[in-house]
Amino acid sequence: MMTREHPAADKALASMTAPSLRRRLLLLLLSSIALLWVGTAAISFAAARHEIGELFDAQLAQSAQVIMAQAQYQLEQVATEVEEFQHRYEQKLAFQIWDARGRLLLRTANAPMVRMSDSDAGFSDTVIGGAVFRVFSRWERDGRFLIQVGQSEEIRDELASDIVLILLTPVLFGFPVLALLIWASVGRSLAPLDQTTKEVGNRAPGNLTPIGSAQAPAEIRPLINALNDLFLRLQEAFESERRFTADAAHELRTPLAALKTHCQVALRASAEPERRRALNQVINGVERAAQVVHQLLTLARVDPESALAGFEPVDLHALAEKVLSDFGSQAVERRIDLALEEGAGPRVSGDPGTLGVLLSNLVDNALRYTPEGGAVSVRALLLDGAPVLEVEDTGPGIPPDQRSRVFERFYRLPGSERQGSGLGLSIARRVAELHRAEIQLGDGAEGRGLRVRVRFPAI
Amino acid sequence: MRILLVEDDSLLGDGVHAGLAQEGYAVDWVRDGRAAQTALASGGYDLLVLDLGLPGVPGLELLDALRRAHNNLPVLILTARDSVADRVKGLDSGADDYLVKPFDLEELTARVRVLLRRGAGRAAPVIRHGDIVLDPASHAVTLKDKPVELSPREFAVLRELLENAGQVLSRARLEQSLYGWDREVESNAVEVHVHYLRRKLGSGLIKTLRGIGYLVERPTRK
Repeated sequence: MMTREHPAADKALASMTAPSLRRRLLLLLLSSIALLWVGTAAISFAAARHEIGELFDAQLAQSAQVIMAQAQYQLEQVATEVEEFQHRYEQKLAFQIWDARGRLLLRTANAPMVRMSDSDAGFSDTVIGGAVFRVFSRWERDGRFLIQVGQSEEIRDELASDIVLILLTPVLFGFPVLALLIWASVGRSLAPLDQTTKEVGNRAPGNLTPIGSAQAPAEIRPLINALNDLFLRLQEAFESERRFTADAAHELRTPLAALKTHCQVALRASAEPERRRALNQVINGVERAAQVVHQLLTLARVDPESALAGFEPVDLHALAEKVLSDFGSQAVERRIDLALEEGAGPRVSGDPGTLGVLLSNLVDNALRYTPEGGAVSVRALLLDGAPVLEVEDTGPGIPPDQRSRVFERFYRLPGSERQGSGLGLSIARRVAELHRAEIQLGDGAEGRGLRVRVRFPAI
Repeated sequence: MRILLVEDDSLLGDGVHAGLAQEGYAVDWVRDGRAAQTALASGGYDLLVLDLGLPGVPGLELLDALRRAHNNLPVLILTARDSVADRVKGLDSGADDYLVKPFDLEELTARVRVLLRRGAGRAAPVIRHGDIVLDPASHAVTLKDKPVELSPREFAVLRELLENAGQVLSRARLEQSLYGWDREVESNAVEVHVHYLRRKLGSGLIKTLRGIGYLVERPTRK
């Protein structure tokens, strides 16, 4: 584990170990240039060596003619050793002249006493005294003399190397210059990235306006666009949080105003019943504010990460049984026929806690809006292979054009008195979303009341 | 003095209703914009206390319709929104005053008094009529600088008569200004209150016009 005591050192370490685009580009470019250079050198050497070979071969053949012309007077003696031939590469040029009967007539000192090459005509390679020699053989004067001229091949390799070296010397000196140029141009190309980094780095935390991408090169633009997308989504999230907080605060103001008013009415009341009545209203107000706070906290706790971690098989019928038992006395008090229909409950994968909150919000709503003597029925069933939880009431229902709006936080139907927190259906929808379930609102049986159907994904 | 309260929240509405009734005002309380429109159409109100966050017809729309119909009824807005923009919008829509929740009942009743006073064309906080001084804020009435004990109903009848000095007020009108819709009115209630007022303030103050109503004459300028 890293200690947090030397953040600067950590940062330096990180930048050293982090892959650097500049370093990678430099390494890649220089090594490919070096490879190219070596390849070029090899090809150049081979080509030069070939051309030099041809040239020297021609020279060798020509030398043979010249030697024959110059040596014609000495050919009468047998086995004469001549002074080495005057030639630019004199040390390396050796020759022998033989007659048709195989007698050595003339040779240079560096030529052996035996035939340099077994070949009678043309070029051949042979080893003489440990060195590779190129030998040209030819019969002269109607087959009377065989001349063999040899030359060490070492000189050819030397010359080819010299030529290749001369050719490539500027490249060798250019190499460091090239490295510098690459370093600088890579830096220049990456400058917009640095600028973007600075722009993002210097931002105030609340600044979520998009980064300008007009000047950015095409390679960086996707990154900037992705960042801007993120900023946009963050801004929307912040905005929705801000709106929610504002709505929640406003929503609490009304019960607070009611509390304060009733307290003051109680203080000013001259008669005991009047004061008692006002104080009872204070208690009602506290209960209502507490309910709003409770619902707000519930909403805040329906947190995607923590909920998903706790998913387990949930029997919807058993869940409904448990939830409905909490509403029993309330239903009896209001003479509402609250019933859970029989059936083998389908199972869903979910969080039993939040699913319980969902159902109890739906049942609470149904009981709240159903007039005395009405009925609220709950059922858990499989519908076309999908687990479904239904709550149906005999209340006033929700007009079709209002059905999408009732899920908005703090939205209340026109004409409905402020009773609930205005959050119940918001919470239900949030829980449903977590379970990838869908809440559908429809008419109740016989077109009366409201039927809320929570449809889970098919098993 | 008759006030129309438009508030959809039952708890807050009940509190404001009780608070204003303690001040001796007749308060009619409706819970949505449509009911408010019906009540306003029937007339007879001296002040409208309006919550902006109404279901159905929004408060500002109601206010706008009221002003477009050239109704000069004083309007006090109650709202949970406290941004300057919201307040300006409320006042620009024709409201006379503005209170942000949670407000103070004392402040609410003080602002109600101001609006009622302005509505009656007075700037002074107390009503003077000859030797009688009526203070709507403290509910104190003095005769020749001596305090006079009045019941809340008697005070309300006197305030109504003095505010409208020089006009004949019918018994029905006085009954209206005393009681909201929800109270049973005894048939001779107004006569009883007038009887006690005459006993406490002198028999000459309130004139009875048989079959028409009651009148307090305009005070003579000294």
